[in-house]
Amino acid sequence: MATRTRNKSRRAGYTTTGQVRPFDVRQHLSRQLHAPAVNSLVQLLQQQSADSHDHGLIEEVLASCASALGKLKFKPQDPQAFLASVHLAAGCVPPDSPLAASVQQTVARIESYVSTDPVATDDPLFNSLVDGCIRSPEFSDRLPEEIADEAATVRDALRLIEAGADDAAAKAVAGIGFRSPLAPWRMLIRGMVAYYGGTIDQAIEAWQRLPADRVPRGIAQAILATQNRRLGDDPIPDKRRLGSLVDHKQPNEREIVDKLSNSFNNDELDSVAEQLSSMSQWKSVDQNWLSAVRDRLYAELLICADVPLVRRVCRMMKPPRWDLKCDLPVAIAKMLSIKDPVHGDVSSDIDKYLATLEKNTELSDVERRAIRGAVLLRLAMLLRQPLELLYGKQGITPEATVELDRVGKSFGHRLVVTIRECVSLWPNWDRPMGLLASGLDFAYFTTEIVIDIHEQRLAARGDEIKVLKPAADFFYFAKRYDRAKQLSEKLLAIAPRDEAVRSLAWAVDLQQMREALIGGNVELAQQIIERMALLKPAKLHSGILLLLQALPLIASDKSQEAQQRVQAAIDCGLSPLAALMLMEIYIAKAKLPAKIKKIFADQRKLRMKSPSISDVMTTIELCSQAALDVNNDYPGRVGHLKDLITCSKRVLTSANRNNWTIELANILGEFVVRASDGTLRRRYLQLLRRHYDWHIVILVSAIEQGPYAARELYRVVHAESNDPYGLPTSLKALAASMFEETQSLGMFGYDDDDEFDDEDDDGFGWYEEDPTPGPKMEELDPEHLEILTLTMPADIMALFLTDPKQVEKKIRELMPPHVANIVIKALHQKSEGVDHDSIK
Amino acid sequence: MIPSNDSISYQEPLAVLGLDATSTNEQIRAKYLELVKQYPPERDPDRFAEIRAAYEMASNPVERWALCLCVEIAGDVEPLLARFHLRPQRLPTEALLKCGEQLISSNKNAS
Repeated sequence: MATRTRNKSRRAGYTTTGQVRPFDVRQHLSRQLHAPAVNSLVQLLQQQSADSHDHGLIEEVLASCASALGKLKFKPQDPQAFLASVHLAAGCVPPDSPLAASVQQTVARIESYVSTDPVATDDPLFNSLVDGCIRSPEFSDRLPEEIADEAATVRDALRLIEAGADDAAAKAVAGIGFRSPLAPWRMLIRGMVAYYGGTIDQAIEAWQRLPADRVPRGIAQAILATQNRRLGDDPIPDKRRLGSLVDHKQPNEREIVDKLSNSFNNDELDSVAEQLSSMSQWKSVDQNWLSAVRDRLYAELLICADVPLVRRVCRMMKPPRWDLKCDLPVAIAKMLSIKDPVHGDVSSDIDKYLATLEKNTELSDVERRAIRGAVLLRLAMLLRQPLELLYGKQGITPEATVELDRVGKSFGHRLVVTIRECVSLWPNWDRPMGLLASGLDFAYFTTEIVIDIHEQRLAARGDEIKVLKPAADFFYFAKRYDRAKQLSEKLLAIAPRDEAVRSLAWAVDLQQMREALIGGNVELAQQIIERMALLKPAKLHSGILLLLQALPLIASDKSQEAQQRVQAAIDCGLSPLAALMLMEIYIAKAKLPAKIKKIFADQRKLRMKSPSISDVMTTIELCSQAALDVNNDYPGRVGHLKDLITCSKRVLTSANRNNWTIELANILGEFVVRASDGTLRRRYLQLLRRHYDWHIVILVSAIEQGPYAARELYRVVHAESNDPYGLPTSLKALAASMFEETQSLGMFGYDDDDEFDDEDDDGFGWYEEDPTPGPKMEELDPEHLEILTLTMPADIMALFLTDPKQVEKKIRELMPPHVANIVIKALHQKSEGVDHDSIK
Repeated sequence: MIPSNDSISYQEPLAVLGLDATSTNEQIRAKYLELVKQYPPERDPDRFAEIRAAYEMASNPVERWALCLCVEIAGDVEPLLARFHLRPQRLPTEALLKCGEQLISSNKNAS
């Protein structure tokens, strides 16, 4: 019992004897218990003799009470009793005490605060009372009635806002006048409505006008602090001052976005899924945005070859409504990682998804058809990539070559079949056709299916140039000249002045003229040549027509007259070297007598001994395309290519640097890029490295550097279209494909984060004669430097010799395993046969 | 009929046209014609090209799905992430009043 009593006394703050100690008084103060503090002070003073009174304690207690009353932190329940205690305590301070004056002033303040008289509007207490009675309505009895009513309205409006009824809140405070002491509260509420409506800037604009000494400004500061934002020049309140609002503090948006962005950019798709999963629990996240990012994650999965990762992510993410079991990403990952696209299992997995899609009743008919089309496009894009990588690659062994060809064909077959279905589904959709349009080797396709695709499009949209032109081009390249002719005539009827259409029609006629000559129909050949005169592309030299006119003469054994036509062509300004080589090409392709061709060849070889720059450049311009075209071989093509290279070397050695105009240097640069001759490339760079069309120089040097040229190629590929030093159009595609190749090889690839600036031009200094390596060279390790000095062809080999593991890893990432195995095997075999010393 | 959708990415072409995901093909065409009148190619070729591209994508459902399923067409993920925004949470009135009073009181003391 005694123990219980003692504990009770301690809780009450007194000793077991009932005596009050100064400590007890201070404890009440620290707990903001002002009335008990005054009462216990009075008790303490009564216990003590007058000479032992602690005047400092009396002053401390009364000052604390005055301050709390002034801040409306408490209101005595019995004001009279409280004032009596205050006077009693103050009376214990004798008038001669140094604290007497201060105590009397404090007592006067307490009296004014405790008073029940209305407060005047000019009283410093007035605004505090107005603000305080929003939180504590009990203080409103000293305010005029209309102000007390407005305070009650503000209180209600704040509750409405908390409940989400923003409009009602705004309406409620609309009646508060601008001159009312509650006007800042009205402004606060209007800002809060804007803030919760998502227009924070508008809210800040309103809140900035709040007076600095009023509570609404403090509230505005606190609200903005939860968003880590400040109000005007006010500092962001410290976390400790936010009290329970700390729990509502928003996470940093920038940090969230950066984290997600890093995960996306580093292909950490499981991390993205994890972040999205936790964000989906947040009420403050926009669900539309979340759904869009989830869709993006799904799209990223559709290019991922890591089956376990795809399965893991699928388990974590909410599946989209068009793939409720996330079947498609897994099927595609299998296709990319396990087997080839025509393998039964993979095909059936993708087909199974497409079958499920057809049964998905959550989607409309249009949606199902559109999704099917988009999925097929996705598939086609994935199928095209290995074909691009395979393009131009040859295995070392015949077996490897056969296997590469087989794999290419299997991808190509599935690609064209997929595109055919896209076209059947959406005849007006042009995007899938873009995948067939350029850069692919037709050897990988079954021509009949591509013809079928074009015919389907022609049947649906046969009057559109954008359907007719690609179809006519394809038929021409597929050597279906009759169909190409029909289409080119249709095109000519629609767009007779279109230069591309005229060029195609010219090319088709040229081919048909050759066929007529091969078939011995000289008359038809002559008729075609007459028609060609009307179609001659504007840029083509008029002498070319004279050369063509010589061909039927040769076929009719009128070689003398044919020679005259050739001479006439030369007389009208066509370069003699070019005219003679062109005649050789025309004769060879039209299968005319070889002895006539030899006559022209002999004449040409005489002229080759000391050619002029312009003569050689015209010949390159007119003949290099035929000489470089392996797919349209003709007798003497290799000899022509060699002769063009030889002539080019001669002019590079003998001609003065000042004789080279930009145009001439560009013509030669283009040939140098395509001719794959190391000596020619070096001579070009040696003589023309200061040629001020940097882009073509960069392109030529990029071939020397192989995969290390990513940065330079980036600049070339992404040059502005109006850049005066831009690449010729004909080389843009080549530069783009070279850049893509450097990217696919991975190392030293261009990194978007590492933007170039003008100072990067200094890195080009290593092309100068000065042997001191530039900054670019310094960033490579010695092994890479060594590789850079080798005159290796620009292919994956150089990189493989440097870092086989890295290259192997990259190849395995990019290619299906069986393709990767073949390529890696070929690289190993080639690397074993490389004599490093001889390369040096 | 335009497929209804809850995803922002599909709405982008429509947003360029000033429409939302519920718009019908007729509405899309009407809006497109209105914008073309407003921004003819000879006066504002860039804006016209933007409107034209948005119209072609918005009026073709398969293009819109291709935008969703093919990252190459959708392009960089950054613009999508940059649109991230946390909606402000409703804050408890009592805590706000208390905190507001404390902040003003501490400001007064500091000054």
